[in-house]
Amino acid sequence: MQQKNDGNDNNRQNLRVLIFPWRRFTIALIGSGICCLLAASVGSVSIDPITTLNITLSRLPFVDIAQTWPQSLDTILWNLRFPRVILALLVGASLSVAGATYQGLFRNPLADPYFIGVASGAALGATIVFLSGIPFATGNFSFLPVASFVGGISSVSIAYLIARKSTGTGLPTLILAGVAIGSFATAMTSVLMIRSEPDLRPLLSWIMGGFIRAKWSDSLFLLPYFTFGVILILAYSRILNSLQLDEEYATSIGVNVEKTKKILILVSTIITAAAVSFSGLIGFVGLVAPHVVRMLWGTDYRILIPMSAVIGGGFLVICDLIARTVVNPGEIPVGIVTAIFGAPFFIYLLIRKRSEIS
Amino acid sequence: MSTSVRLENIEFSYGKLPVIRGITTDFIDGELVSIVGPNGAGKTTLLKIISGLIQPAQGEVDILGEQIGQISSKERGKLICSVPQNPKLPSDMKLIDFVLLGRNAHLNLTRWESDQDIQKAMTAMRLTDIEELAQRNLGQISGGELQRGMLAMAITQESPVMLLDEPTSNLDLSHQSKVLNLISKMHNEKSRTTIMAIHDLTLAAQYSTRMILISEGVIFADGKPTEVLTESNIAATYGADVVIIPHPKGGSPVILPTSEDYPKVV
Repeated sequence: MQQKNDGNDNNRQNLRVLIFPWRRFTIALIGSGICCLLAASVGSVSIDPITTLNITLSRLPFVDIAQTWPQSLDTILWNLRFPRVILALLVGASLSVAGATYQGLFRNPLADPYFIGVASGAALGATIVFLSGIPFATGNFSFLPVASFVGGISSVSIAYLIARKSTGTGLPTLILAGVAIGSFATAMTSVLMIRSEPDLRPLLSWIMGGFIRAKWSDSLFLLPYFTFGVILILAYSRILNSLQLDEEYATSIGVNVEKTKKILILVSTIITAAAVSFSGLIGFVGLVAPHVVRMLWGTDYRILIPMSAVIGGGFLVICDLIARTVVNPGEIPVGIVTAIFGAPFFIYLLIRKRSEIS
Repeated sequence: MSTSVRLENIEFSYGKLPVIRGITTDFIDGELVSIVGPNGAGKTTLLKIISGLIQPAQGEVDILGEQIGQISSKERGKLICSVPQNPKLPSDMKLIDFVLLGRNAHLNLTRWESDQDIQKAMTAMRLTDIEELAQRNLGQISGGELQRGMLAMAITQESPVMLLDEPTSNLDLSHQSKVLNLISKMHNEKSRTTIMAIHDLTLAAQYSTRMILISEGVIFADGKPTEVLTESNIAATYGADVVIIPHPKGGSPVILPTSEDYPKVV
């Protein structure tokens, strides 16, 4: 996947093709890292960001920093804050990569990771487990993520099979089938909720999304899906560029359109379902982050995918920081924060883009 | 001379409507063939069948000995390139990036465009006279420039067989002959087989080594432009009264409508 940078670089520079913006990428990466440190430092016990950095570094192998801080800070950071910050980072990155992929695949700027029904399926899965009386968690193992993961994957699979049956995965059919399955799942979720006795607040807070229950094991579970998914999507990012042509044109330049669609839908659905199963349904980040990247750095998916991961991850870390500090005591669902901060920024970008064109 | 494209009894219908009703012909290396015929005769459909974009209901397409339905998309892309008619294109893609897409069949998941590939794209853009537009977005260039961009992309693909669907439909008078000169120059240099569907009979006659007149899904006439473009053939297929005179330079047939209400709506 390494781009070949040897040879006549000057030519590439002059033509401005395929130059990966390493400097900007590094700056964005460092920016996200700073977001993480900041988010870990702020809370009911405030920690000096430098101390946070030292504590973090001291955890790394081969780094020897004399401990000048109380052990309690280490415990707070390591057992409470970082699991949450890192999970937010991973979820934000996963949703943004999936969103960017769907936008490219469907050639639809409104596509987000939930475009073809992952979210409603995941919510239905979670609701069924929540109301069925199956213990929410036994020991360290929780059924809720498993159920929502299965629910999300199932609803997309059904939509995919319906679309394939009628048109060979015609994308408009897939979108419509996804909407239909999604509405059905949402209706079932509502029915189950209305007919139920128990207090629904835990379920509703899951559906609205948040990281309040974040554990290290959540990130560890998500990491392989994320890593594998992003590597595969990156490998396909060049082909994702060719899919911006219509399907016949893409076929005639030698793209196996059906196979590409199948792989990319599968991978994005899996990383979305994995992210959603721990964080609940966090909206907007998967829609906005890729657009922000697109407006700043152009439409080449080879740049768009990694940049979206970094920007989306950092954005969600900050949103989560706001979600847990803006009201005291308690917190608000992070999905509300992403929308409150994301929507105006998105509108600003749209207006700016508009004035550039005219 | 060897056969580069062979069509064996091709049939195709959209639903119950037959479009291609048994076409058999060979295209020889080095031929520049124009496929002509009235609207709805099946020109575009035939091109799509040759390029493997749609499967014929009956019959077989062979490109350089390979059955088009049996080989991978990438192999197909190496054998055959197409310039479609009015495709939907992303308006925010840069022209240079668009032309580079032509290299797709020569790349894979781990091999991206090398400097050589970029050179090839630039050469094609120089040939088609759009070099200075390289950094423009597709949404910011004219229809004619876009058409030359698509031609540049097809040249970049370096396939021995090139299909063009109405390559001059969006071009002004000077660019029509520029593009057709370029197509015929490319054709002569690389001895490709070039097959184009084209409306303008006079223009087609000036550049083609062979013309195929199709009507209602079958080949009505096939041969040199002077053999195919006769007053009776055109009356029988287009239902139009024309006079045909030799071009003062070169002598290719020039089609002139005779009646006042030409083109006649049938």
